[in-house]
Amino acid sequence: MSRTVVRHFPKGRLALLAARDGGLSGEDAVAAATHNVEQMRGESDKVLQKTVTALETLVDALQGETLSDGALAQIYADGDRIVSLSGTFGLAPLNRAARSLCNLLAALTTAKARDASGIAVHVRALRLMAPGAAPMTPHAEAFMLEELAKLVRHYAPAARGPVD
Amino acid sequence: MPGVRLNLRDVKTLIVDRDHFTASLVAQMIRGFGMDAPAIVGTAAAARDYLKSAVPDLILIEAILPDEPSPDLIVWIRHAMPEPLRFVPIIVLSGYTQLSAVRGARDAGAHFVLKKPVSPKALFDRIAWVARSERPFLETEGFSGPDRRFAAKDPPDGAYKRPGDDEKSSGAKSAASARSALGKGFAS
Repeated sequence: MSRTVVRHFPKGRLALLAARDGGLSGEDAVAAATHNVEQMRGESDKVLQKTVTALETLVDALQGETLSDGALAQIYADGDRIVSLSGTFGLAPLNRAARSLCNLLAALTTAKARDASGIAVHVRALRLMAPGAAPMTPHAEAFMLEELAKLVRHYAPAARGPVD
Repeated sequence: MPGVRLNLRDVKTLIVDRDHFTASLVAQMIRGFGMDAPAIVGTAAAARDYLKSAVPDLILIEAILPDEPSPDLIVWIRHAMPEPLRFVPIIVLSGYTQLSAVRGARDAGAHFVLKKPVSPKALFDRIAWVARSERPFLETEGFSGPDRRFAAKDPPDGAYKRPGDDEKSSGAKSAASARSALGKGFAS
């Protein structure tokens, strides 16, 4: 059986505009964008702190109960936001802890598990690494991240945890 | 894309993302590239309303939307909208563990999937690639979107090239960047 395939080569407005004279070099465009983003670092720190607070409130409200689908989705959304913002602004330990949380959520989902204890441990770690927290030694950070990785491996033995 | 020069003034962008702060970060990147301030909406429903009266030149969609799967929105754009909106470049921004979103977005007709956090360089490279490439757009019974079998070829030679874009910068170097972009995207 043959299927009809219509092939187009559309000349979109983006392509037409981009080809005009003038504009910015790639290097200048990226530099200007990076500068604009950097202006938002302070606001990002506040958003990160609020997001960790929201996670703490959510986890506290569970009080040992199993996770609902709604709670899981909200924790994932918050964790994903922390991954995105900490990655954008170079907050490496926080980024690795948040990725570990997302790995844990994925592992829980795959294992059809609803145990929130590992999530609570991750949220405590996020607080210790969030903007405004007292600085930690590299050794303490590494130890904490390895402990988080162990939690992920408990539910997903093949998972590498937050290791890059 | 070293050596690439783009004039993105007057380019209109729509960002669909429920996380307004993350969307505003992307908006700042877009402003830095010289593009117009983008429109930002938080839901697929708001995007549909917006697209009924506006034609953006580029759409950035978060992989997980609060009211419907993002592939459904992409399919609606590709199948229900008239030209030129039907062919508009669409870049999907996926979260850290949303790997399934890559296949869903590709099959729905997105041009690229970018994993968050999105860096200014990664976003500029994808926009430049979309603006300069001649990726065919296919329509079959079950699919409407950019050719998913598009190989890692050099950017079009001659087409979209302007005086000052010398052979070396728009050829070999750009090709390496393009191949890198494709490798991180979903084209095979």
